[in-house]
Amino acid sequence: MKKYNEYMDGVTVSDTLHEKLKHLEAPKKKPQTWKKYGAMAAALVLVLGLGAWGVSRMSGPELGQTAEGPVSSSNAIEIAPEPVPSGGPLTEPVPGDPVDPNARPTTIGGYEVHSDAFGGIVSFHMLPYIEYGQVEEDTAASLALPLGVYRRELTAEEVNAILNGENIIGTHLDWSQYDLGGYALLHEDGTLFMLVIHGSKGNSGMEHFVLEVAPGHIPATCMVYEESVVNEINGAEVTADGHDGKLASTRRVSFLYDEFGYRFEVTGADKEDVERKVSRLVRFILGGVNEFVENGDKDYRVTDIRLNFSAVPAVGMPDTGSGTVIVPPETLYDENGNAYTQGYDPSASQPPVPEP
Amino acid sequence: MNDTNRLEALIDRYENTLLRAALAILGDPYEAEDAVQDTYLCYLEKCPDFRDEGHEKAWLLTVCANGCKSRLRQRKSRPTTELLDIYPAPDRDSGEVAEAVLALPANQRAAVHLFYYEGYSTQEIARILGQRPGTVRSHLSRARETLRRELKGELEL
Repeated sequence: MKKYNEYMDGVTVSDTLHEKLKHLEAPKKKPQTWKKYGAMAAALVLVLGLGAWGVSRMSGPELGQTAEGPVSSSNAIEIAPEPVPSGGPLTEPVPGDPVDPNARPTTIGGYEVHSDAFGGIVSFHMLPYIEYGQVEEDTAASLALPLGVYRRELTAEEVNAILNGENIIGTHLDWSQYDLGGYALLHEDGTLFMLVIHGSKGNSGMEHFVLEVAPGHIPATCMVYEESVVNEINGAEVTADGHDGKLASTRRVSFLYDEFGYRFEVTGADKEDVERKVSRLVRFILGGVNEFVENGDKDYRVTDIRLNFSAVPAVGMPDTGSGTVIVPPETLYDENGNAYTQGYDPSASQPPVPEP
Repeated sequence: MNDTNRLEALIDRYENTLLRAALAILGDPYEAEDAVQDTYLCYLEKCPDFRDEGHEKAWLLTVCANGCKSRLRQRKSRPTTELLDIYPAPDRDSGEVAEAVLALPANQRAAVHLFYYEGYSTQEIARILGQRPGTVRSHLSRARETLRRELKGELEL
């Protein structure tokens, strides 16, 4: 492309533009939520032992202490500075990398930090960073549902149960401001073809999401995007793409995990918020949520919370071919601290469940 | 080096690079100038630390390309300003090739510019443009076919 290069070599910035560039001023920065805590945020330390995707609530004891006393230096995590990118010019993205410089969760030392409704500080393990392909052209493909598939609307209670309640909906997914709804597409024999949960908020029509889940395959869609990017997150391949319009941004992910396929699309006016919501959902599905609950009898319950498919309308569970019904196992602990797992398999005889 | 000196150094080093890339993607000289300004504004806002000059250039080009893509999505009609009126070609042949490249779709123009003019690999271009390497190769391949057809083999690309 010698002739093209010769042309471009002759293109130079005018004196007027050069002067404008030299006199540019940095735009004013908006304060981030966690910076309101100032020294508190800087001194935040987190206790290990809550699992890879744990939640730590620091609203009760003073920062730096657990209910039992000060955090020992051996298991405390100090706040680390933002990592400096390393490697060659175009390696895997880290915060500050140019691939998508405007999309980053609010973090301190790898933990997302924000205030909760009670004025305390809630921290989460870092949201997964997702690289999105920018969509310019859509290709529509035809979508054909299998014969005999029918639709059943979900009640609000069913949607709530599938998502495992208000704590997951509000704290972990950040969907509490949305009006939620959903439906199940079912085969003639009542098994699940696809589950759809959707949410919308406000009157602009620009703030909404849809989550589609299908057993054994990524949910069917009528849109094909050429510019998607494949991310590897927690061992799963997450395909991501997005589009930034004048009024709103859309981000989409799709992936297979644990014999279910997922597609999640969010649209909203705040691009960073949209991307955080996608990352929250991805973290929830791929990592689950560990809730550690202690009751008065010192009976500890650690539950790996994911989507609750058993709350799908009582017409049966997806058959993945193995003959086993898939339900997330629940781990319980007896008074001696011994763990046992209760899983549901109607085709096998169940061992007696120890009394708590 | 303080922030002002850093910015001036980056302007002196890359202003032409960014303008050329923005022109290749947008095809409009006035929008391209705005895109260059936006790129440096983004630099001032983010204040990234660069590990070397290669990272520095790639960062700026990526921000510039993202800005250009946003402008393309918001564009309601094709640009009316003839690029070659503002930036004339040194000779007839280079003008013809430049016009042929600028007549390509934006995705192909961007890939052609970054590959042939800037010398990036398809992997690197994929990172800059936020696309898959296969997509970049596809854009380059189609661009070459179109250019061969339009220029009828008369000019060495």
